[in-house]
Amino acid sequence: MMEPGEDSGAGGGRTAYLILRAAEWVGMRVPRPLGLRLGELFMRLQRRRSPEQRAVVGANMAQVLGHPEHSPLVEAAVEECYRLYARYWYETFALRSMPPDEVNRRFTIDGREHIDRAMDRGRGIICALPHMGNWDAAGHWLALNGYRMTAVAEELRPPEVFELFLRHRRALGMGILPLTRDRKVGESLVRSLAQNEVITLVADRDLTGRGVRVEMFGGPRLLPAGPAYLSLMTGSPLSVATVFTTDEGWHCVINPPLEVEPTGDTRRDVTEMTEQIAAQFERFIASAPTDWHMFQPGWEALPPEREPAPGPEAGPGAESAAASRR
Amino acid sequence: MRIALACPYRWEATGGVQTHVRQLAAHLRDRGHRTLVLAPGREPSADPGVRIVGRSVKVSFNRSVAQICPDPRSWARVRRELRAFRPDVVHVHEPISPSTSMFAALSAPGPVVATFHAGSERKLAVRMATPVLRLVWSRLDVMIGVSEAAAEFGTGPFRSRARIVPNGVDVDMFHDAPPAELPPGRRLLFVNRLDPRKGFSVAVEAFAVLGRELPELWFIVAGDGPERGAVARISPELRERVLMLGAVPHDDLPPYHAAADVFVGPARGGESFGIVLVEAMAAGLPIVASNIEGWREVVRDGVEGSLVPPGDPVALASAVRRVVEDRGLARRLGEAGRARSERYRWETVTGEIEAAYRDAIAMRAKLSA
Repeated sequence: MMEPGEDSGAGGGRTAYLILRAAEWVGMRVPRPLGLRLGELFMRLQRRRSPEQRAVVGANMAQVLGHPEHSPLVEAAVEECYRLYARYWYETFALRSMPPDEVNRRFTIDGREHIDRAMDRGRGIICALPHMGNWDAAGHWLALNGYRMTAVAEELRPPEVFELFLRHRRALGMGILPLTRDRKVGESLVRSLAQNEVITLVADRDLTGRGVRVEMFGGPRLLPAGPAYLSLMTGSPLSVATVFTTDEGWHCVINPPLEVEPTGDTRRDVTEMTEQIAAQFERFIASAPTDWHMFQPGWEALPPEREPAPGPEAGPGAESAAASRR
Repeated sequence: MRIALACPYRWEATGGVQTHVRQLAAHLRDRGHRTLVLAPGREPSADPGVRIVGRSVKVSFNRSVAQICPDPRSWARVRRELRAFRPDVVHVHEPISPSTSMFAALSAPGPVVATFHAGSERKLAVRMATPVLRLVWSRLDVMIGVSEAAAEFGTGPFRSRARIVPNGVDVDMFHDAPPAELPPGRRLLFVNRLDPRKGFSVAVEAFAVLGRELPELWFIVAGDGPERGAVARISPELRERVLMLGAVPHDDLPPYHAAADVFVGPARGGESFGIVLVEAMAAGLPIVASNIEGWREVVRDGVEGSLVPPGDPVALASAVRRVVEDRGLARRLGEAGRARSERYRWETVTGEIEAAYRDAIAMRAKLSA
């Protein structure tokens, strides 16, 4: 996910940290109407300050909507993207000071039974999500309602920014595993599944260039192999899920677990499963394109087709894929 | 003396038994002994004093994962390594798991000392396996339990033969560490995995009461685990005074102890030994902990701390409040704790284990005379 100030060049790390501290303060202490306005104001500045980033959002929306980049529809969508992203930032911190009853009132969910059924079976469940709506709200809701959940966080720089996020998400009751280069994350995830936890992996973007090549919205895109690989190795079910922003809160949808008959050829199975994930992501994103907080390029800049490499030797695909490194 | 140490669990994983074996080997070497550690693992060890004798596999048991090596090829490897090393004594840890330690006990060429670490929750399993374990037990010259609870659990019908040598703790590490920079106020410290056995949610419920009564009290939590979500269920204002540090590497813990006022140990049971309690005592912290088997051997009620019924947040809260409000009491408990922690000093413990080795060798000599 993008952090505000991420692109502010040298010394930007410190700026990013100060901006986040300010956002944390606003989120936790400023009343909702004013807090949302402040967030939108900041994002409007951000949009002006970084035309490059705005162009990326434009290109992503053009791909999703199937309209030219500078068409009025895409322009309007980009504005809405920034507005909803501002809301994400305000609300993620506002969650920290929100009474539990209010969280439960603002958060609605479809498909909770898929999680409950998995819990009864005792092997945990892996939820693969796109960067939509507010995934922190989902994590907090799970913790609040007695589910045990763990998410993986990519390591951010500078360290104090990373620390702030760890502290924030832990205070929401979420378990957070820092994605380090060693194999610890994969092992920890396997252990968490053995202890019947819910693992949430944000999996709509590959950071390493070694993910699985899938087609989304008519173009090739890389998705991390980690979620599928983790599910195949542990036998734990994998559901695709998302969180939509609603007028007063969030609506979470959890799809039934994927059904893939393993052939024994891990590479093939991982590809098959990741293609199914991509197809379900597509539907979620298509039903609320501007609620997709995607501020990095994903479709262009793909190298020419080569062997996708989901196996254990291929290493992690992205923030979620450390599991493949056991 | 040439001493072979056998560990049944994957060497690269973190765990109480691995830590114990690693530290014991280092202390034995400091005293001029030759040591060789045998353990399962996933890759060869860079340490020349450690031989990886088989590939560990994960075995799900009791909602937790043990990484052991029940492979007969590994047994052959253990026998070869022991023949080549020619130990004066073989010291096996937790030999009732079907892994390296059991193999070492069964194929040791000479005297065998065994240490039992685990607590009490699987007594039934041990009883059922007794016919097999008899063979293992019959090879042990000296049996050690790290506590009464561990001896009771691990030695089956041979309880009367076992002696108690506690876990060693690096107490100096917890003396005079620079305090961590934390928000101002009084601080309650919890260090452990956040799972139901360790009682984290009980501590959170206690803090939900305490935090309201004592507005300057903070709850510092070092550890991670499935019960982490408990913090989401208290009111947001109180949640802001809970600092969740996540899993903290052991070496980084002392500054948090140095910054804390009270240590809380709300475990629900199934503990064989409270290393976390000894570490907190070494740091001079007053303890408020559950009155459970294994732990009451370490902390005495009213002397080093206050023991409360397990799983009772109200009792826990009122015991913590008493210690926080009465600084004189806190100081007395802390000083008594620091004195008691000396009992667990590695140097002392190593001396007692050496004595066990000498006894084992003497017993064998008598047998063959």
